[in-house]
Amino acid sequence: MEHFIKYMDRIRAEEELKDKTKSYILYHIKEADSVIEASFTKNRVVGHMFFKKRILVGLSTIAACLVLAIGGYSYYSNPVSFVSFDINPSVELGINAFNRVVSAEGINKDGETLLDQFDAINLFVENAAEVLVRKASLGGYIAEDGSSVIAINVQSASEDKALEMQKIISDKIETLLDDLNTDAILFADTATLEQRTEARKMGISAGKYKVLLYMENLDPAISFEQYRHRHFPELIEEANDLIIKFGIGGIQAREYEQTRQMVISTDREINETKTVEQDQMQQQNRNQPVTDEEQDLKTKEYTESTSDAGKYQETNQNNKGDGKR
Amino acid sequence: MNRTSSAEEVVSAAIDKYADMIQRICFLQLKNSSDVEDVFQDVFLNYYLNVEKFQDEKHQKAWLCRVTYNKCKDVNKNAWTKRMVSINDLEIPFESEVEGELITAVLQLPPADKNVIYLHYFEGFSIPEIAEINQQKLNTVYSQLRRAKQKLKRKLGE
Repeated sequence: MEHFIKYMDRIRAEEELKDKTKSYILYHIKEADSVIEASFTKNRVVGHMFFKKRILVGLSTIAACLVLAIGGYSYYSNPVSFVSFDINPSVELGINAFNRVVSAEGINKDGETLLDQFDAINLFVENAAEVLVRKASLGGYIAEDGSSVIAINVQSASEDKALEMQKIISDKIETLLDDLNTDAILFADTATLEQRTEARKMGISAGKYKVLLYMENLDPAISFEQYRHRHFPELIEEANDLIIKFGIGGIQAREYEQTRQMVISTDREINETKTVEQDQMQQQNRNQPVTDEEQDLKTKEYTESTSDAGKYQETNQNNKGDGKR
Repeated sequence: MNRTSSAEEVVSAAIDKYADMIQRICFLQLKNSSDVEDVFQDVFLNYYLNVEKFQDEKHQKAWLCRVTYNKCKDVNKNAWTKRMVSINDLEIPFESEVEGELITAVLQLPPADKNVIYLHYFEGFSIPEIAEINQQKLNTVYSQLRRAKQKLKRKLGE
């Protein structure tokens, strides 16, 4: 690799490129500063005139200057959109007008744990999404067998903006999953800011709230309380059962159906693999000559393993697609 | 303003120190100087916004490697970039045939493999350090490096 090192050592950035980059960065820093400076300066002139008359008025104007200066900063730090992630960790990111993360909150305990591992603030939303999913994968929240569902929901005042952000984030996560050689089911949707407010009052993500709302629309007997603690794949299944029951069609119904099929087929693959492995084990046991003592032991093991398989199937029905293994 | 002059110093220092490294990563991942310029601007703007979070120089360098590689991936994924027939104006002349064959072979590797080769052999990062930089599992990095070396051996007929 000596030739490689020598060649790479000869590669240098041109001075023109460095200067251009410096100018670009400084322009953007100055532009951000001038927005704040403009608010501050305008009110400083006004404050000077008042100060000649009364100190109290001057003090209140200084307070006003501070409010306006803070206002300049708060524009940057004000979230205008939100993105919720349900993997099993449930997380919500607040996004500003520049597509940067300005707030990050764990909606459940696993979500808090995940966010403790890195600082999402100031990252572009798609980069924060990438880090989140990466951390979730490293933390064992995304199963290697591809049965996990990664549900993303974008909430914004503008539907177009929400869809655009949803696409950027989905593309990023799909690329990441390819790089990690990991499969997972990606379920992306949008919601309104009002729906997000209702969701947060209930202590759940907007994504989960949207699915529950959909289910309630199909069957008014559905209780939010009954379902709000269920995992996403279970909700998808329930939603689809309702779709079939009430004979509803449409784009959203097809999305639920498609996601449900992916969840079920992955589950079936896992079950089939486990059954084949158990059959092979049993075949090996039968073929070996055994003493009476060993026979007794093996009978006991066989009984326990078949009852475990039954327990696994029952557990799997109730906890399908549980992301954490 | 004091804020701007100190910002100017911070950014200028970072660009002077790391521009060559960013250029090398871009050389391996991108095809034209226009894309390199975009990546430079994105990376250093991001750097400025995150400068207070760096624990030390090593952390800073690792962060820059990761962000640059990710930005290059974003550029390559862009639909317009895929459709464009781009001229590779980033190459510099080879000093020998052997060098030319090796660099050509490296450039033909998949993006992730090229990145690992560069970080390990040129920047001197260990495998665990590369796993940390790329936020990948250790075995993944080992596999990438092993695979890259095998492909290079096959191409170069060793």
